[in-house]
Amino acid sequence: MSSAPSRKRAIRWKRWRRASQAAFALFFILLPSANRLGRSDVLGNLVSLQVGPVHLVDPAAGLSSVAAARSFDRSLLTGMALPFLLALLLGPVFCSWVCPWGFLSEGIDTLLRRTRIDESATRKESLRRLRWTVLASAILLSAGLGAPLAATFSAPGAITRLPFEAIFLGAVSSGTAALIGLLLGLEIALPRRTWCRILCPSGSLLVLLRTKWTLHIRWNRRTCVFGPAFCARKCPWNLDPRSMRKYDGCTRCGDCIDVCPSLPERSLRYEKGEEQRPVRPTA
Amino acid sequence: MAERKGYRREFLNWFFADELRPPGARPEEAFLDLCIRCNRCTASCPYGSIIPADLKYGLSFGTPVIEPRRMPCYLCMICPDVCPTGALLPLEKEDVSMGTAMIDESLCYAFRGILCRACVDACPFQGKAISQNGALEPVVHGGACVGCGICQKVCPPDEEAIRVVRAE
Repeated sequence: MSSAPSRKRAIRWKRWRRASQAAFALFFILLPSANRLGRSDVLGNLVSLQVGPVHLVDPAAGLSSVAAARSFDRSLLTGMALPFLLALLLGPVFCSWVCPWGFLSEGIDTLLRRTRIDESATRKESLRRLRWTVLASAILLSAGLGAPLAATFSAPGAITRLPFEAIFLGAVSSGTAALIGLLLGLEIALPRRTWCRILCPSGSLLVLLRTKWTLHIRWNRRTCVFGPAFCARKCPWNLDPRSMRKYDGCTRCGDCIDVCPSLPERSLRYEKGEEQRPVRPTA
Repeated sequence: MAERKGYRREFLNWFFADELRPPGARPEEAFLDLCIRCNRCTASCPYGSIIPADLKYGLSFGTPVIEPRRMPCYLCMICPDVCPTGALLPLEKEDVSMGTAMIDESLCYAFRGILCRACVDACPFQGKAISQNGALEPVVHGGACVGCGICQKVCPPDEEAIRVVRAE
């Protein structure tokens, strides 16, 4: 019997994440079929979904609708409450565990064999600023133009409208087709995950919903091997889990945890509760 | 309110589009502010009357419209209840005002001496919203007509003689 340290029981988060993404994608294919057969207790898409008495609205879409109408509708606010609380509790897990557009986007990365983007720290910083600018403009322009732009150009909305229109109505509307085409074009023409990382208002707003008790990735510098930084290389969001800051855009996908080589236990893990002070990696 | 936002309309609609909104819809400007294209009204409609607007609506693509000739509104009043943003507000079917039916006398059989009362028979508010006059010609009563478009659906000529014009 070998007594070498092993980690056989370590959870492989990516498997669970893929299962979750696939389940949600399947759900939005089955839903229009069920609607077509007359079931109407579950209605909607990822902009707004009604599951029996539970009523959900994408906070960014809801906020831009509020900005456009300059009025508060009570049902809109109650619909935004649950996603809001979920993001406060778990962070933007929506992006990496739920959103079918994120799933598709990761698939495109695999197909195009895209792995890492080389970005300097200053470029990362300026892209982050761009992200907040895009989010703020989406909300302000919604008010200016009188259209909830975060809903109009919602990628999760578009990708869940597509199977709905195809299956429930038997035809995809020109608007949805054009929007999906535009998003796919951006996905392919721009660097890896540009829409999700910078342009998506829904994701950006979820990233902002962060307290110090929100679920996050904890790096343990004492057990870190400071080696080839598999974690930072594997991050789909081009982050370094060893030097993350609050609003970096980490979606808690867990890909970095899976590749951590430290023994006997990984030096990265999910953590709830109060956050450690940020530590800069020495390597 | 409509006046304050009037300037936005032309930008939002590249071409003039006048298809009907689902019952209970707020005035067009307020409707466009609120609707987040969630498809809940579309999915809830038992008749498949509601479809997403296409690109001819400009930035309003994806919002729900009803094309009566394709499938009119049968006033079941389910869709206003499922709207998450209040773009559609629950109301009684008598209070719906999607538009008003207008008759083109040059196309209408009854005005050309052919006996036809398809629209009068189909109207859910028969006698109140539409009736026949002494010459057996259909007459729409603007106040009672809710604009459901059932008359437009059943009108026999290829080019319908009765058409719902959207309320503004």
